[in-house]
Parts: sequence; structure tokens; C-alpha cells
Amino acid sequence: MSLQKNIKELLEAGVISPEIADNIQNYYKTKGGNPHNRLFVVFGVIGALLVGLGIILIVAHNWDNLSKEIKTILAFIPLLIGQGSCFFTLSKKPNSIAWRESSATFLFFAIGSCIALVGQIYNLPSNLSSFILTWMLLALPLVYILRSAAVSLFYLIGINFYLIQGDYWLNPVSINYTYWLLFLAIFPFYYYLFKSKPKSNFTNFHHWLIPLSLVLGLGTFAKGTETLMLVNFLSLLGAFYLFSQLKNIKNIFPRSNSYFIIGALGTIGILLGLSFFEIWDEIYELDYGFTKYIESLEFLVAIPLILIASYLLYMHWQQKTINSVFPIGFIFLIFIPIFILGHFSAAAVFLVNLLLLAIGIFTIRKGVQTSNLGTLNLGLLSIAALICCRFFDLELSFVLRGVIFILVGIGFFLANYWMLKQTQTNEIQ
Amino acid sequence: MKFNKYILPAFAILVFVQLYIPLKMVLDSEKVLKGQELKFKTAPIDPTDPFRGKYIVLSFEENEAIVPAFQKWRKGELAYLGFTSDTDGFAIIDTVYSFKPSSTTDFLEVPVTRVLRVPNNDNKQKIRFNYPFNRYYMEESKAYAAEVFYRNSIRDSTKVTYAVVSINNGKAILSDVMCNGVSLKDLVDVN
Repeated sequence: MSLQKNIKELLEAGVISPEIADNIQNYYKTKGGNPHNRLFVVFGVIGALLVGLGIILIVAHNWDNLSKEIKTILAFIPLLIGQGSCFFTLSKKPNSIAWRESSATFLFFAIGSCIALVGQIYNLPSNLSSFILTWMLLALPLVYILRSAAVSLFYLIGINFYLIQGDYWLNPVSINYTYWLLFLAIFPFYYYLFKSKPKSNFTNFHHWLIPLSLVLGLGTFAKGTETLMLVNFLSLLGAFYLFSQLKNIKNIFPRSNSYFIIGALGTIGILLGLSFFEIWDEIYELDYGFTKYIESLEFLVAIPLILIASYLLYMHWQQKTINSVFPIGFIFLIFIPIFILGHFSAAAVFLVNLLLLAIGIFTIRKGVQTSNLGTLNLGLLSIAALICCRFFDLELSFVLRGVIFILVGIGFFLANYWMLKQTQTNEIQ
Repeated sequence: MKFNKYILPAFAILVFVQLYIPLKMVLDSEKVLKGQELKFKTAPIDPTDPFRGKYIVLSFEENEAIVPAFQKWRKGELAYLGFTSDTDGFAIIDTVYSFKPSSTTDFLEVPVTRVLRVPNNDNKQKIRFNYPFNRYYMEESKAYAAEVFYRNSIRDSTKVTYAVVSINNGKAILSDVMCNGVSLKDLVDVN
């Protein structure tokens, strides 16, 4: 709507001709798709979602007054309706996104409700993991048959829920191979979305869920030498960050670059955690020994992760964009000697703090050089977070802490104000 | 993704599988219900399963057995229990097998949760297990009242609460929870 208003304003002011106005409108229509169709798809999915959730709630109500046979028949009705609507969609409306997404979403929830109702009717022994696994396996083909991005998103949420319902929190955890097979099964569809609808909102949601699922799934490899997982997580997050900054990848993300955000914030978050003495005390005490590290599963996983991240770094070097990923893109490599040092000396914690300070300063500098407010604020946030963390370690008076907070806040304000002024000055010139 | 002519046949297969799985659950459960019916005395707690509604958790008196020590039971192993009835008609464990019996289908498969020594008797072990039929789903408005009624009835020695369970070929289905011969659902309605 704002585009329409702007075009109308420019037409009335005589800035653009009617022909140019038509060209602009046609360009945005072909680029972004018809906004009315998109709205219909969204309402269709929301409507199907609400109906599906309503069915789940009714399931939870328990129908005491009905006989077992009637309850069993009723349990199958949503499933049959869902299958019927999907069949109608495939045979009569195969090209309608709204129909495909709505019917697939409804069927997705109908599958869950049918299995849950049968379990409730017969008071079957409960096993949430196997219930979710069965549900997701039955729902997975819907993603490909109906090309439903909504079901793909629910599927991703479902398999992650399945993962954490298992023995994910046990120590040592056992590798959940089923989860990885389920995760890999959705990749062809993700690739299809990436290639055919790169600017779609559904694709954008996938860009968030896929890396988050990978981070969660990586935790299943913590089998005995858990401290080595720090190297693994930093390598994975480093790979996300480097991938997000590649020339041909950067332009694909419509608004927020999820790989960049997860990679950068995740890396900084882990380093902030490692800036405390207590963590290194534990690493020092849990020294597993060189042989145990080399023979561990975590080490086996670390090798491909470090290689992938290194290869992405090499691609940046080839594209001559190596400076743009400094310093966050290098953290996964710099951390390795620090991690080794941490088993022998407390100097590791100081190095991590210096690393965080360096990240903050370099990121601020990059933000200033590229006139990018987001990058500038990321740098400021890193330094502010580091200062906050040190408050827990150092014994400072409340007054002094208050003064430092005020100074950091003023620094934030001044830096952003100065950046905006610079941007406005450049625009005028 | 162009495989249009395969989509409808693929969907047909999917429909079949989606119907088959819950139908098999129903048929397997019905088969178990035709098996040996037993009454298990209960000794409860009121949680919610977000997908299946309110239920009361049941625990049972007859949840351990004395076995010969040479069998060397371990936690996590599967035990196959055969039952008989006591003078009051309640289930008591008659036999404990370490393998699936082939001569009968009236047995229940349970995982061993604890293995304990028997005091002053090195030739015996005590094994404890959790029964799979420990959830009884109720209409959510009744579940809490049922749980309270249940707790009170356990304390009242004039009331006997038990679960009606059918077992068949290692599996079990819980049909009802009774108090002095009346279903808990009906007792909650009356009260």
C-alpha cells in the first residue's frame, strides 16, 4: 500500500510519468507476487492452523459419554476430511498455493489428533517421543506431495521437539541417528525453496529453523569429552557467519540474514560465557588427556566442521572479501590454541576477554567505515555485554557501576547519533 | 520439482499408510482386550498430557517379585509375568520368565526398574517393575475430582480400588479403574 501511495504522490508532483508509474508497479508485482494472493495464503494457513489446533484441544477434552466404537470412528473423521481436502487440492487446484498450504496444514494436525485420540481411547502407554516420531514420519511426504512450506516448518519444529524429548539431556547423551535422518529428509525441499522462491517468507522462516536445528542437533554428539564441543559449536557458528557473508549469498536474504545473526550472536554469546573464570576452572579440572580427546566422537565431528568453516574462509579470500569477515569469521580458528592453552594456564580467560574486546572494536570500526548502523550497534553491544559480564566478576561499588553504565549508554547514543549525521551529510552531498 | 504424474499415486500410498497406522493401533488394542482380564489393586498423582488430555497416574501394589538369584537379573532387562488371582480375585504374579513364553499368550512384558537383595537370603533377588498401564484418561472436568476421590479411597480401608486390565501376548490395555466394583467415572459423577 505504501508503494501505491508513493507512486501516486510522485505522479501528482510530476516527478514520474504515468508510463513510468505503470512500469514500477508491474516490476514489483512480478518480483514479489500478488500481495492479495499472499494474504489469502496466510489467512488460509492460519485458518487451517486454528481449526487443526481446535481439534487437538477437543481431543484433550475426553469424550466420556460416547462408546469406544463411536470415539474411534470420530477419531478418524478429521484425518479423512484432511485427506479428502488434499485429494481435492491435488486433482482440482494443484497450482493454488492457498489450497495446498491450507489442506496440508489441516491434514498435518489431523494425523496427530487421530493417533493421540486412539491412544487416549485405549489408555495406551505413553511415549511422547515415539508419538511425535510417528506423526512426523506420516507428515513428511505431505511436504513433497503438496509442496507445503508450512508443513515443512511444522515438521522441523516437530523433529526438534522429538529430539529434546528423548535422552538429549542425559550425560553422556547418545547420538540420535533417527533425528539426523529426519533432518536430512527435509533438505531437498529446503533447497527447492532456496532456488525457486528465495524471497518468500516461508523460505525466510526456513533460513532460521534450519541453522537453529543444526545447532540443537550438534549437541547430540557430546559423548564423553564435552568440553571439545566448544570448538565444534564455534566452528559451526563460524561456518554460518562465513556462509552468510559470501557475495552470492548475501543478496538472497530479503530482510534479516539469519545465518549472519545466528553465527555472529552465537559466537559472541559463547565467548561471553567463556570470559568467566569458572568455565575454565572446569575445563582445567575435566582435563581428559590428549589421547582421550583424539579418540573421542567430538574430535571426529570437529574435523569436518573446522574444514568446512576453513573452506568458507578460503572462499572469502578468493573473493577478496576476507577483511569483511574479520574478526568474527576467524574466531573458530583463533579459539583452538586458546582452548588448548586453557588446560594448562589461566591466561586463556584473559585471551578470551581480549578477543571479545577486539571483536567489539573492529566491529565498531567496520560499522563506521561502511556506515552500517547494524554493524556499529553489534560492536557496541559486544563491548557493553563484556562490561556487564565483568561486573559479576569484579568487586566494584554500585556508584562506579552506575557511572560506567551511564557512560556506555551515552557512548551508544553518541555513536548512533554521529553515524546518522554522517549518513544524512553523505545523502545531501 | 516436476513429477506430476506420480503425485496422485504417491498420495494414495500416503493415505493408505496414514490410515493403516492408527487402525493397526486400534486392532492391536482390541486383540489385547480379548485376552486375560485381571484386576490390579492400585496404591495415585494429576498431570496433563498436552496431546491426550487429563489423566490420573496409577501405581500398583503387586509391582515386585522374588526370583532366584542365579538368574542374575539386571535393571532394564525385560521380564515376562504370568498372573493368577488371589482369594479376593485380585491379580498376583504367578511366574516370572526371562524369555517370551511360547506355550501361552497370557503374559505381560515389563522392563525391570530395580534389582534388590533379599535380606538374609543370598539365593533370592527381588525385582521391581513399572506396569505400562499407569495412565487412565478422564474428562478433564472429572480428572481432578477423580484423583481426590481416589486418594481418599486409598486411605479408607473399607474401599478397594483396582484397575481392570486385559493382557495378551505381552501387551496390556487398561479398560477401567474401579472402587468397590463401581467405575471411578461414575463415582465422580455421583459425588
